[in-house]
Parts: sequence; structure tokens; C-alpha cells
Amino acid sequence: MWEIPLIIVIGLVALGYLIIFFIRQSKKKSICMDCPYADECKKHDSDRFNKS
Amino acid sequence: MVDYKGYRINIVDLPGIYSITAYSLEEIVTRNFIINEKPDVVIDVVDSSNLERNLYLATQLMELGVPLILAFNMTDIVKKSGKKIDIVLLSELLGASIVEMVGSKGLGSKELLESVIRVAKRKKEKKVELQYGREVENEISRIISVLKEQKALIFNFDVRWIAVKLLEQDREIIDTIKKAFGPKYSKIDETVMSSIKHITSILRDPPEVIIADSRYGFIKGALLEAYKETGSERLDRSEKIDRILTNRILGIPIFAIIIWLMFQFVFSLGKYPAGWLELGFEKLSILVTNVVPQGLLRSLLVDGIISGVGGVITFTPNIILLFFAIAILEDSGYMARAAFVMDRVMHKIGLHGKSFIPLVIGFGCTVPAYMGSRILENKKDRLVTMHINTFMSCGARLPVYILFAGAFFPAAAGNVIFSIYFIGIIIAVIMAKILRATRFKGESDPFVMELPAYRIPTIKGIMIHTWERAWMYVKKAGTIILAITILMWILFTFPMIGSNYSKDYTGQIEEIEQSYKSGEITDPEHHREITAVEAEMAGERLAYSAAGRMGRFLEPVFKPLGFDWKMVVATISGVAAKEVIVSTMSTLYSIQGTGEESDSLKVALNEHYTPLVGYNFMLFTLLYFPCMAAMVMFRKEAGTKEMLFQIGYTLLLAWVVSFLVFQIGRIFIK
Repeated sequence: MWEIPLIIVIGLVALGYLIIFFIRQSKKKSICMDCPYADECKKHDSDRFNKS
Repeated sequence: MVDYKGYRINIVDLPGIYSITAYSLEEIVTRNFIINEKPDVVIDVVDSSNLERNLYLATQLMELGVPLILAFNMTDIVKKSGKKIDIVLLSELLGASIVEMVGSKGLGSKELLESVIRVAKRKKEKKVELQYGREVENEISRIISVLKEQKALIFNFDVRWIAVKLLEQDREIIDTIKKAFGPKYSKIDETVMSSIKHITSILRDPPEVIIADSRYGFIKGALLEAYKETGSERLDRSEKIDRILTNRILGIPIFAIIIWLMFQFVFSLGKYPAGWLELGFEKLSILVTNVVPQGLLRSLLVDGIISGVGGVITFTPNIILLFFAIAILEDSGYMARAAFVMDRVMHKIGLHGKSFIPLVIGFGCTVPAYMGSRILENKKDRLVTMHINTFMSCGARLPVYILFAGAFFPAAAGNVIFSIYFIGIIIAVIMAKILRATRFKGESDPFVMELPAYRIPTIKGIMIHTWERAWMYVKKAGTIILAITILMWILFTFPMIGSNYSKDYTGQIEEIEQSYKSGEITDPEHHREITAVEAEMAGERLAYSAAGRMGRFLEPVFKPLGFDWKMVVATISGVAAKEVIVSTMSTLYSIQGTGEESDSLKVALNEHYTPLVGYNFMLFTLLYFPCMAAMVMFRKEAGTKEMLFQIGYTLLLAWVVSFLVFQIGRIFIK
């Protein structure tokens, strides 16, 4: 079944992404999940929308 | 020069001013003396009969961080007019010693000298930091980053103070930085100008007006707590509105009604675009089903990715409407009133004003709420606030509520969601009282609730904030939630059952086909029986999988709550991110779904659970500990022991409450 190796690769990529994401976030002052629910979490994105 | 109790006190009389902006020579002279000469104590003589005007200078001195004494002069006039100042409370709120005086009669001089000695000997000053509102604070942070980047720090000044002065376009500070740092100033100037432009476009006033308003808001908040006036006076528009909105009796019911209306708005309006999105994802599923051959890849695409991620993205319209409503409430100035009203409740449960700030942040996300608890200097206040913060239902739980409320209570979904938030607040209040009486006994510190002036929100400001958040929600769905959904699909699919079914389903299907061919059963009967057998097979495949085994193993613990193993697995997946509960349920019921039509998740939920179980699941989601990222932050802020306590007690509370609701509910609801 050719699908099984493909599923394994996709799964490993997803797992790898999550591990790298958490490691990067844990090194920051505020570990977060890139949530949109609080201003404090979106501060790093606010510059994109500050059009002067 | 004064000699007092062995101390020689050198008193410098500075020009009489109402503020220390750099508009006049007197103001510049006073400010420069304070900054350059670094006096051991600064005494601000305040006319007590006009506190609101005279405390403005005090707020600016507070910003400078100088050791401050406020000499409240003419207190005899205040007393004669029937007004009353709670000096102790006001002193705590302002972070400065206050001495009552009647200068004309020499009253209070000794107390003032005692205070001077006490303050001069104090090594560390408690600094009260004024907040200028979300937009201005964001720009202050930007300017501070650039100042640090450019190493443009002038050592006599606090960097935050410099940033505020730059936003106010203080000529003296600008000239000082230009002279000291030459070409570096152009980068700073560029940032400051863009900040000023942004603030002016969003709030319709330049930063110096907003900052001045914030200072007056701070003073108003402090005086509302500590200054009692009798008799009628001419009120401005904000004060007239505040008489109703912050009224001791009406304040909380009005707040509750406004929040209820917000949920009605979010759900009633949002269900239409959410329905279109749901239909869109269903069509996409059918398309992929027709194009991709049957097999694991198709299942991953349809049952995993499209159902799982689509299940979360479907709620984007509701989330947008929620952010829109919150932006209006915040930008208009009402949220500060709500905070003030709730502050009274906080006092009653042994938590004071500062606790409300992280709790309000917790309605957005628990991670910054835990970080925000740092503003509480008292450790017990901080820990209690953090421990009850999880009951301030975070934004990530909202898709779960919308799904279940929409599935089981379509006609009253807004009311049901409101009840969940309300229950969360009640439980937070109860737990705060219990924690304060047991594990974390002690007094709380008072705090000023700032009351900024009311404003008409700008459409531009609201649309920018709403769009930013909507984009981040979709981005999170397409990244973190997508990755987790793929992993959940793998856990629900492997190991594969192969031929290890408990029954001979193939044989059963053959029998049904034969009965249909021979005309013994009709077409609808044939379809129904085949569907039932295939559903049973799908159920066994799911139960055989890794996630299924884990769910079945834990199911006995949750059975008394009315939950089956699928709900258990969904709850566990919520530890990664609460929205994943929705994508897990979507994936589960999509894998389980049979036939060519794709049944909606709401229909599937209705078939498998009762409304009581649905509501109970929402309660459990509300009460158990927040996501993994929040727990990591909790550990960073409070230590492993407190984190484990939080996990343990919230799980236990969630279980007990859900158990009681289900067992008692079953008696009355069949």
C-alpha cells in the first residue's frame, strides 16, 4: 500500500512542525499558540497593520 | 534649611505649576531640577478642595518615579463642605504618602517632616504605572524597542517615560535626544511619527490628548474609590453616564445585559455565514470524495483535514463578530466601567482591582493572563488570580460552545453560551473565596480603576482590530490545528483493524444484498440496513485505533458524567488547544460517517448524545485546566507545584460539577 509511507511522512512533518513550534515559542517571553483572542498575543503582528 | 530629630533637611522651593510638560519655563525648571538634582523627597502641595485638577501634576511626578509626598493643603475647607477623603486608601492607590495640612494655621507640619524622613529613608519606592489604553501602550512598546535598539537611552530618564514624552512631542526631550544621539534620532523620529499618525487615525485625537485623558481617567478612578462628595454639582457627559453604568445597584445587571446582548449578536447573526461555510466544506468533501480514489489518503483529506480544520474555520464568522463587539465595547470606554463595576465584586471576594486586569485578559487567552498576573505584587493575590483565571472562559473554547449550543439548543444558543460564561464567573468567585480562606489567606492591595472619557469608536480602528484577529484565527486553524488534526486522524486510524472484527460484517452485508436482490427488502430498507452495519464496522475500527483504545480505557471514569469514549478523547485532545476539541469531534464523526451523503457534525452529535450531555460537556470544557501552552506559562510564573495543583483541582472540580449536573439532571430530564 503506497499510501502508508505517504501518511507516515505527512505525520512526521506535522509532528516535527509542532515540536519546532513549541520549542521556538518556549524560548520567547510569552509562550503562546498564535491565538487571536488577546491583544497581548497579537502585538508582534500589529506592525503589519500599522500603515503610516 | 530645617533641623528635625537629628536630620538636616534642605528644602528647595520650586515654581508653582499644575503640570510638568515643557510648555513654560517654570515647568522646565521644575522638571530639570527633579531629574538632575535627584532630591531625596519631592513634596507636591495639593489644594484639597480641587483634587481632580491638582492631582494631574502628581500623576506626572508618579511617572517620573520620584519619592513623592502629597501634602493635601486646606483640608479644613474640605471637611467643612461635608466631603470626606480616605487618605489611607488614596495613598495606597497613588503609591505616595499623603499628609493632611492646613498651611495657614501651621497644622500638619510635624507630620510632614516625619513623612519626609520616612520616605527619604525608604530604599525602594512602590511605583504605580499609569496605563494609557491599548493603542497607546502598543506604540509605547514599539518606541521603547527602537530606543533600546538605537541605544538611545538617556541615563537620568526612565525609558518608558522617554517614550511617553516623545509621543507627547515634548520639545525638550526631543532636543536632548537629538543633541546626544545625532543621526540615530532619525530612526526614532520615524517610529514616533508613525505612532502618532496611527494613534490619531484610530482614536481621532493626538497622543498628548489621549495621554492627558488617561491621567484624568486615573485620577477619576482613584477619587471614585477614596473621595466622597455630597450635594449636587454640574456633571459632564461622561459623569452623567457613569452615574448609571457604575451605579452600585444597576452596574452589574447592566453589565450582564450588555454581555448577553453581545452573545445574542454573535450567535444570531453569525449562524448564517457559518452555515454557508459549513455547506462549502461539505461540497469540498464531496468533490474530493469523487476525485480521489477510496483509501487512506482520501480519508486523511476528507475525514481528517477538511472535516477537522473545516470544523474550526466554520466558526470564523462568529469569532469575527465577537471581536467586533469587544472592540466596540473597549474603544467606547465601556469596558473600563465594567472593570470598575466588577472591582466591587472583587473586593467582596478578597481580590482587589488589579486582579481584574488579568481576569479580563483571560477571557481572551489564558497565556497572557498568567503573564499579566505579574502586576500583582502580593504573591497570594497573584496565585489566587492565576488559579481562578481558567474559569474566565478563553476565546479558544468558544467554537466548542457554538458547536454544542448550536447542535442541542438551536433556538436558544446565545442564552446557553451566556449561561456558560456566567457559570464560569460564579465558580471563579466561589473558588477565590475558598482559596483565600484556606490555602492563600491574607490581605489584598487596593488599586485604581482608570475611567477614561467615553469616545465614539472609529470604524477604521474597529475594522483593523477585527481583521487582525480574524486573520490570526484562520492562520492558527491552518497551521497548529491542521498539524494536530493530522496527528489525531493518524491516532484514530492506526492500528488498522484488518480482519479482527468481532462479527462477520462481510457476511451480514452479503445477506442483506441477497435479500435486496430477491426482493425481500425494499430499497430504503436495504440502504438503512447497510448503513447500520457499516456504522457498526466504522465504530469497531475507531475503537481498535490507538486513540480509541485510550478513550475506552478512560471511559469508566467519565461514564458517570454521561460521556462516551469519543468525548473523552476529544477532551484530552483539547489539552493541545481547545479548538481541537471541535476538529477531533469532526474527524471522529466523519470517519464514522457512512454513505455518500456527509452528515453534518451537529446531526451526528444529536444522534449520539442528549442535550443534557451536550450541556454537561460544555461545562466540563469550561472548568478543566486550559491548554498546554497556558500550563507551561503557569509553571514559568508560579512553579511546578502550583501548576500541578491547578491541573489537579480544576480536573476534580470539572468532574464533580459535571457529575452532579448529569446525575441530578437525569432525574428531571428524560
